[in-house]
Amino acid sequence: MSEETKRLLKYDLLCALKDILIFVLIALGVQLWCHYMYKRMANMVFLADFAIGMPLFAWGGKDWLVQIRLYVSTGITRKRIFRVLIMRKLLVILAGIFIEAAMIFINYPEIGIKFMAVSGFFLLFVWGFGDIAGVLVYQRKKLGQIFLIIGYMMIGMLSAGSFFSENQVGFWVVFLAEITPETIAVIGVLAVAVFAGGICFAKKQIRNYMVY
Amino acid sequence: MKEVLNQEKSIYIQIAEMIENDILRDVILEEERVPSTNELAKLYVINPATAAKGINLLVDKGILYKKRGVGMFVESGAKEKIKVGRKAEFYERFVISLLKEAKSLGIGKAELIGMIEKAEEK
Amino acid sequence: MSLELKNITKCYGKKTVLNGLDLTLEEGKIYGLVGRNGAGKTTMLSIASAQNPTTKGEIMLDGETVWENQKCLNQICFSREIVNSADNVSSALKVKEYLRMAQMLFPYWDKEMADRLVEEFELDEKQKIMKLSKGMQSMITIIVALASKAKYTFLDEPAAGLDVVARENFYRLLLDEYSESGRTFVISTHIIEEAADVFEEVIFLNKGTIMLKENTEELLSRCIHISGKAEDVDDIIKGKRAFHQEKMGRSKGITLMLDGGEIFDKKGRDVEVSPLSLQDVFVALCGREEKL
Repeated sequence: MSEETKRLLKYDLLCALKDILIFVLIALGVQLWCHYMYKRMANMVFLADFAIGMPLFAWGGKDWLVQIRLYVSTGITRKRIFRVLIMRKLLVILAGIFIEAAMIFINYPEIGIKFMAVSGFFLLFVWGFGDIAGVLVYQRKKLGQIFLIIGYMMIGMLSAGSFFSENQVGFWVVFLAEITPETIAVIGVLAVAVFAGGICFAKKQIRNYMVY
Repeated sequence: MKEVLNQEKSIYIQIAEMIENDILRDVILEEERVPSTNELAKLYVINPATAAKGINLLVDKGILYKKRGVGMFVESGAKEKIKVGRKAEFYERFVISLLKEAKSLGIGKAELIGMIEKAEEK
Repeated sequence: MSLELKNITKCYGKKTVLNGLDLTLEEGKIYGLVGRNGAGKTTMLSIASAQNPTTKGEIMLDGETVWENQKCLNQICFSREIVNSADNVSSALKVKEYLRMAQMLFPYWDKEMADRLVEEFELDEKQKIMKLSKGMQSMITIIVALASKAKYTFLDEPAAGLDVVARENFYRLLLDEYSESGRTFVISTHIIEEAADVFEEVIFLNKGTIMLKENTEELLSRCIHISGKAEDVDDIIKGKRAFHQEKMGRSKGITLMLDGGEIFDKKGRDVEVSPLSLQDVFVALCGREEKL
């Protein structure tokens, strides 16, 4: 990796960490609220998904409106920017999966592998969908805004919904225990398709990124 | 020393004239160093290339010379040279146009000389 | 090592902003980029720094294409005007953060100079950029431009928002840095008159192409203003390039552009011949060229 890429990656990771911190704080806030209101803890495993999934999706929009613009404005090549963005998201996902793995195997070892698979595919999907929404918003297409809203709602609900009732958590545990390998494969194919589509779409657009 | 630049003449000519004025008034003496291009640029807030052009004009006229590695210096005899040059300019600029203006106002030679004597008395 | 803009065309949708523009910027000069609002100055500078792609045409630095070429881009800095808008993130950063980012991204960044300038301009590093006055925002773009130490540095309206005193300070800083480093600067500006003395060469951008690029002093020496009785004026301007005719009663004023080195002959006619400021020249050239 060249010096310039290293420097950019370092700076970019710092910015990314700040974003993640915000969502971690939200998750902790939810914990405190749960504890205060319902006298118990919200499910940490799903909170992890929230703290990683939300920023990952948010970066779709933020990169295309903010970060890429900033980097292009200082004269960094688009190729390098794209590489660094991929590295950042990959590192964050890997870190998140690692944390989740630790937590799931401590708390719910019986659904461990299945959870990791579904969670991994989920994060890939979020990445791809986020990029697609981000590019559309950059292109000033209304569809972009719609996708952003759908994305936030979906991720928020999927990962945060289980916070609030024991039944919900139980639902997920049962769901994952019963899920068939075929279903996981279908989820996988869908997720990879969206991911691949998102990356291609983003790569094509970044070649002509303009700072207005 | 710092006169204000105007737009009547090219800047580099004004720079050259200002240095000549300083030499005439003994603000800068012969064989003394004159401000460098960069110093002039900073002082008058102009491009160094313009200042350099002004200095080169004086070098061509034989008013300044360059001492390698040290800077620009005033030639011996520069003061005289400037006076001669200024006298020629004076003739062109003031005397010729004075006569022209006098002619267009119908002022004859005798009246003109009378005016000069009157002004001298003041 | 020169920066060449070759046959640049830029269209935004149906609108053509730059049309077959050719320009060569030589090393070690301060250029003034002058043009009306919407003439395409910002577009030209952002294309020259590969921030925006061209519709047609190429940018070359020292024979290499600049686009997607980090080696070339490391030598170019375009310090844009900071605009307070929702989608411009630079304004959400604090001064300190913005400068730290610039430090990380410009390989030749001079931190000492940046710190010294922040102090000199009395800027509060912890302030958010969008909360600063327009003048202070201009100062930040100036700091980035100067401290970047890039061989080719472009500034877009750096004097906008600065008061008269601050503007003169800026020109001094610019000249200081230029004398020391010999970097190439391209300054786009509306405030033509003040900056005219600082520009070694001036570039007029009009209607998407370069109207002229010339040594400032040489340009001024060949543009004159003639005024007097209409017949007298008409007689002596025959065969010359004339612009921006002004008529009042029996008198007429017009701007002439002579060829380099040409001496103007009044042919004995009683007319006023006066020099023009750079601003006057620009306004005249943007006006109508008179067909004689």
